[in-house]
Amino acid sequence: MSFLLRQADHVGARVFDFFAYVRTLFFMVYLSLRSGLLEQTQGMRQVVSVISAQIYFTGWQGLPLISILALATGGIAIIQSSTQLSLLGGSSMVGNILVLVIVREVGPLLTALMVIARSGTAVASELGTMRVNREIEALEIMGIQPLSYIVFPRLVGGVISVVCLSFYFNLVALLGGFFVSKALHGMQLSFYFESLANAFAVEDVWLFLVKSVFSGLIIFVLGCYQGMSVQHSSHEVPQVTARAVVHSIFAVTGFNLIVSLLSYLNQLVRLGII
Amino acid sequence: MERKRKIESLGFDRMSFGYEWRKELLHDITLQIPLGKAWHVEGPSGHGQTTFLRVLGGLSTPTSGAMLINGENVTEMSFDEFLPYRLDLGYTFQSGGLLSNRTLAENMALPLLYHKLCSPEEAEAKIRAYAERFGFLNMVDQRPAFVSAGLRKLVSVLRTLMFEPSFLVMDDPFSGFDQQTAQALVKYLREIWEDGFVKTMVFTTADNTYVSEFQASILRVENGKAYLEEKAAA
Repeated sequence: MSFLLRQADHVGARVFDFFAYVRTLFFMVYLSLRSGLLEQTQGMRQVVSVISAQIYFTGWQGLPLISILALATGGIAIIQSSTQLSLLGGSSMVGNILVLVIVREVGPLLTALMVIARSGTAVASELGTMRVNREIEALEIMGIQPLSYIVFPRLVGGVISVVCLSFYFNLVALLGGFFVSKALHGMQLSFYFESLANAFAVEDVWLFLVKSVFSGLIIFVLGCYQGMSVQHSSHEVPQVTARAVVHSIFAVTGFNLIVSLLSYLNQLVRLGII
Repeated sequence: MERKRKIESLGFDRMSFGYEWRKELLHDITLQIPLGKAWHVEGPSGHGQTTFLRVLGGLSTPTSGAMLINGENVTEMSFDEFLPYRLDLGYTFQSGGLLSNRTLAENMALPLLYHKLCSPEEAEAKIRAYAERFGFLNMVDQRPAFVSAGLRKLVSVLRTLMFEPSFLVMDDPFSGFDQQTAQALVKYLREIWEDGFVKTMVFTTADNTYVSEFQASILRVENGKAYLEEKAAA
């Protein structure tokens, strides 16, 4: 009995820790947005320069990797779907499948995972190193709020980058995939675009935006939080970096799953099935 | 909003401070630091001189008690409420503190431009004047990783002086330099001390020759307590 109680106590403590962690993250987002937007009476020019640097590192420098990933994903999705659909005689459905798979699901998720690997790690280790080198304290003694100079620009730059990269991923995946499919199956451009145009709905845009914006926010909040949590020495930096990656992967995947599930349930409700 | 508020008085009321691993390094300190003087913080090693300077510089918040500036309890102030005092309270690190992704010039200009204390042209002229005086004009566009540790420390000290604080807290400011640079820094600090833009200096140093340069009185930090010894240090 005492073993069961200990286990229940342990699980309960972990659940409380988890909610405290989530609450701290929300508080950090709130404080950094407040200090960045509302109390930002000075230094906006300096903050904008940090935002553009973040967009350059995350967005612009991430383009080659995203291009390769998008081409490969688009090619595979189109080849598989068009092959199976032509066997079933439903080639006109290719657009629906691509919008469902690429635009709604794979585009935002793969982009987010790529950004976690490139930028989530970079932000966590950069901020951790800044803590060790007393750069964060130096900002404080200069009267510069680290949340507005360090965290806020990374959140804004990160979210903008993830949304743009996701859009770019979809574009390259759909266009690149078409060229692969044309080479293999001789698919016509007009047929392809007509199929895509018929498949797109406003809901797809919303889903894409919700997933991209919040995935970006999750990645950069976790990266910043873990980086800022370094206390004393450089050996903590790889630890917080690894933690930022693991937590980001769990959070982004879970978030994408929940949004897809809600969207699916919404469709069932609209169709009157439930 | 008021950019900078002059420090007219500074002290502690039953202030204690400790870390997780050492609960009460500073204990129940009540002290008023007389302004207009230089104070050399002395005491046995490991008794909390640097910690005392960190609390004094507003970097560490007392775990209990209060730090009073102009009679206000700044311990309870938010970052923005404390900002006007912070801009009149300079703090220099024993080591580190420069932003590694900014050049030396950008590091020095940052507080001035961020708080819009002067125009970019004025900031550039000020940096140029400092760099010429201390002989690192050809290095101002380098990032900290590409210059010597001594120059990094010098720039860190000069960056604090850029916004002209009247109360200056310095943790071992004269170590890590060659003799010539250390002398140049002492000479400059004496000049701004005599000009009156720095009114009060609190610092630690292992070299007593620098203490006599400023005719500093002793502020002893020992066994968790801090007290003033008015006589000039040797």
